[in-house]
Amino acid sequence: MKEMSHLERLEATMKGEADRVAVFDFSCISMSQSQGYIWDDVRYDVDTSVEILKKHAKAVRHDMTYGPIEPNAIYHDLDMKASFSKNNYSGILGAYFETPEDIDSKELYDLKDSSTCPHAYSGLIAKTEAFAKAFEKDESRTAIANVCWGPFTITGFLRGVENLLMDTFIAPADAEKAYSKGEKLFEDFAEVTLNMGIDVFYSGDPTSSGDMIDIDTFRKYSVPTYSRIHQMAKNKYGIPSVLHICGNTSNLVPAIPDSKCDGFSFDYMNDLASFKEEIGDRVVLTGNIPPVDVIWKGTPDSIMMAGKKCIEQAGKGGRFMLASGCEHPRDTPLENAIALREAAEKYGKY
Amino acid sequence: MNKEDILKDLENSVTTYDVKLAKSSAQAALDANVDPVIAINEGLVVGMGIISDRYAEHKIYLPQVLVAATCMYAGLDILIPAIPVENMQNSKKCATAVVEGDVHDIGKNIVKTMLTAGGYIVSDLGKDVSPNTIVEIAEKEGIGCVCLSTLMTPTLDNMKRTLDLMNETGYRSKCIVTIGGPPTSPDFAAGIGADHKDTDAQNCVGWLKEAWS
Repeated sequence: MKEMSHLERLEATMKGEADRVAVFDFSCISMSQSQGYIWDDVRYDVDTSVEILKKHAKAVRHDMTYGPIEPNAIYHDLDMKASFSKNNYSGILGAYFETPEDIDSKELYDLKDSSTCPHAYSGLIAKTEAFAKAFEKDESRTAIANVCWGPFTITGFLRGVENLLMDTFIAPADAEKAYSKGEKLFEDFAEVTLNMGIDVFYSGDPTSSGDMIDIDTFRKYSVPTYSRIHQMAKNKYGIPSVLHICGNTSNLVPAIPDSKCDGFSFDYMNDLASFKEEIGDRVVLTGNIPPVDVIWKGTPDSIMMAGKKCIEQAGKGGRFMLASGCEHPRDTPLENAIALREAAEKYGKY
Repeated sequence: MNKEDILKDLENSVTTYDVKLAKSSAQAALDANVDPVIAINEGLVVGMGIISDRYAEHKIYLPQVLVAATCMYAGLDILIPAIPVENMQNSKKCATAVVEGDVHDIGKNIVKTMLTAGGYIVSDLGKDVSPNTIVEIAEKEGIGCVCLSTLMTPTLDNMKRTLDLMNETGYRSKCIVTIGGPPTSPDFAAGIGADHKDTDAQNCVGWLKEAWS
């Protein structure tokens, strides 16, 4: 049987018909680091980022990836306090809506107008467009995903995570108002990037972690938004959606299919086998090798073994993507990223 | 109100998320000449212990813990200044910090809350804190336990840098170091020379009580 291309394999994985287990490359800053770049030189540089992604994709040959984007770039145009490490992602130190009154009175920029948010474009959106364009004529390409924070996480950045969490409990009207602003930013981001020719719509939502909120809160805020956007990605643009939530998500699992994501990516401390049993017939499970102890600190051999274990737990019947439980740590060696694909080739054939 | 009722009110203020009750019952404790240390330990701390148990059992989540902590701190703000300075001098001192490069501080704040509820004096050094700052303050304040946190993998190395600096200055021998945050692991803790790793704040305090007796 002829080996599937990356795009064919990703599409087939969503139907449980792939030739082997697909691999999601959870690299971002690590692909910059492994090529000897300093993040300050990559953070807002679209051309350099494209070159890094091209070289990385050629080396690792995973089935789905995204490029070296600055994840917090969407906040850099809001005059929020931020810290900029020379060779690391930026950190957001303050909140935009510091008081409940700010939620009403302070406007956000128009994400559809690049002149109002130049950093969001150079750090994230223009890069996404450039990544998609750089690979569009290459039929053998890895599937290119956009990257966006989920709506609850965006709202947490805008309002301050602790404020948002407390508001959901003691001031739900304020939480809902703030969420509607964060949701709008997420929806605008989705609309802009879905028009750029990406192959997968991808969101990361650490603040929706089951370590932080219960399933009712997840259902109330995040699920309806995801459901709408994920269905739009599928029905209007014909592409799948993958949702990643950090930390322990076992309490949220029953609600994951309601988000209408095609793939659910989750962290290493979750029980892959039980997730497979619970929702594996409805969602492509993606994960969940420990990012620090195995992906970063491990060896190609230990990654092969961890990959084999994951495939044994969730590969049966297809609808599984092998991946790290969360983003590859910055200093992950390139050979470790490659070993993930080799594990799928060796142990994941159907 | 008698002492028992006041202590119960302090406990209830935390478990029912009632910040007004926390303030009024703390003031009532002082007005009734209840020892502020007893008011803290047998009132507010008991309430926070109940909250911790509910959180550990997944009966409540972070929103509730954060609001309960707000109530506890509201009571502490009134009671701590009433404790004679000489009574504070023998208290065990901890410092909490999110290491340099990382600004995610919820986990650190929960540890701070549980340490406070556990009877420790806590210096919160904040987020994005350099190794130099952590070591300088630990030495200056005579901190006996430093709790380091990070959410992100790229900043894990700054935990190691902090421990390396503590070794260089010699303060490491006078100080327990515990680390936490999702990317940390027992192997990582052992590799950088930390004494302990936890992802559960309450467990961490339980460990510390035994390790630092």
